[in-house]
Amino acid sequence: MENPMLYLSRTRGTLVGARPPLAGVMRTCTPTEAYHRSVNQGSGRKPIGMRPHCYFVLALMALLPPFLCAASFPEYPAKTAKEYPGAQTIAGVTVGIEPLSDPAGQKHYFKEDFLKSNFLPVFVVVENASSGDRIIVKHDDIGVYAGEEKLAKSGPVASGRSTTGEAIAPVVEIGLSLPGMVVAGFLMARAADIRQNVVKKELRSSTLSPGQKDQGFVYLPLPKDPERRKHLRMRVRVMKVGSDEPIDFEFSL
Amino acid sequence: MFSRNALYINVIGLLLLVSSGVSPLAVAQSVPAKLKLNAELVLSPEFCSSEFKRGNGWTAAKERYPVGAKLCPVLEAELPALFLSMKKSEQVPAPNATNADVILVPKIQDISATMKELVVEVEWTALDRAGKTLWVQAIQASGTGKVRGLGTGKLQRKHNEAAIDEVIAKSKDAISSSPELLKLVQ
Repeated sequence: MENPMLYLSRTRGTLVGARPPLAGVMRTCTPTEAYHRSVNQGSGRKPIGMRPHCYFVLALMALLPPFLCAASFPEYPAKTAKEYPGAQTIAGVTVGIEPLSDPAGQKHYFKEDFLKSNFLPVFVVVENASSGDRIIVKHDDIGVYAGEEKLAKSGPVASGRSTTGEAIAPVVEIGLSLPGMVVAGFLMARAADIRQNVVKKELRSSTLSPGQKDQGFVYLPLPKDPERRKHLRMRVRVMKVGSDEPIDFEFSL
Repeated sequence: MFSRNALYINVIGLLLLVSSGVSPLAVAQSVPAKLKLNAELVLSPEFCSSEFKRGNGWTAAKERYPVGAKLCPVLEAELPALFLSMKKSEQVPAPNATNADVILVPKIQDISATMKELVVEVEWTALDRAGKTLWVQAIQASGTGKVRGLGTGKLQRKHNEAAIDEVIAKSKDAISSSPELLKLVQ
């Protein structure tokens, strides 16, 4: 079929303000030409390439896909930190967490069942309501541990050892706060879109001024032993700018 | 009739512009003020070699995003404009072993790519001379875009370039507006 726009440009020089030479002349023409001639014969309108409403249909078609894509991974509804059960406030900093352990919820927000890969997504909200302190939230300082061992007061929980040298029973070597990269590694084979969603929803490190908050998911690795899973604890560590003393928030999962 | 068509076309153009995320009323961006600090930029070999690879070329298209290799020279060229002086090093200096007022350490947290978008997450840490953390900020940049015709390589390059441009712009913005660094100047 001939391109309507080509037809328009080809005929523009001869047909402006005139009707196509149909009457009394039988000649072959393309279906597009026949359409335009039949349309324009009665009205005397100048032939155009496409009807105006066609532009709107095309525009709608161009606009629809982004909306559909956005709907595929819904945003997780965030609340203020204090609204989460078990939220804690220390020195004006409030931390609330919400484990997303329900497989249906995981499917809804991630299109993925994390428990199959031994990970637990936990939504974390950190709010700085202190009078004037700025706090540092580092993604790598959020971790999980299991068992009856005492938590190291400082230093990475993953090491299983406190800075004072006191041995902490290495009940689990589940590491901590592994970046979304690791989780997403399990998912990569399935879909790049799922992986990207995991990364986008992840908590990002930041420095918070009074009144600011940081929120997002951390993906905690779970021990394979179901018994150990019963005693899981999560630690969120924040630091005040200019201070060496960390503020630790501990939660049972 | 033509004026009506022109109106339709203008309306459609405006709709497409809005849907593409571009503001019809572009606001001129202000140039960040220079911080009166001597800085040291730590570009480790790990950072500069960070990349995202996927596919084997047989059952799936081979994709490679050498984000670190592209980002390092641009950071080295662009960031000195924010400070009085800047030197580059490959590792974080020992405490009090440098004469820089602030040490900037970028770290690539994650890279993720789809056919539509490349997402790069970079975490910036600013340390003082003694090695104490002053400021931490992660930024997420994404590169999107389309290319004419076929060619996964061209598309990857375009996404890579767009993401790196955004990383640079967001990094400059975050560093120059950091209250901790501004406080250090005073």
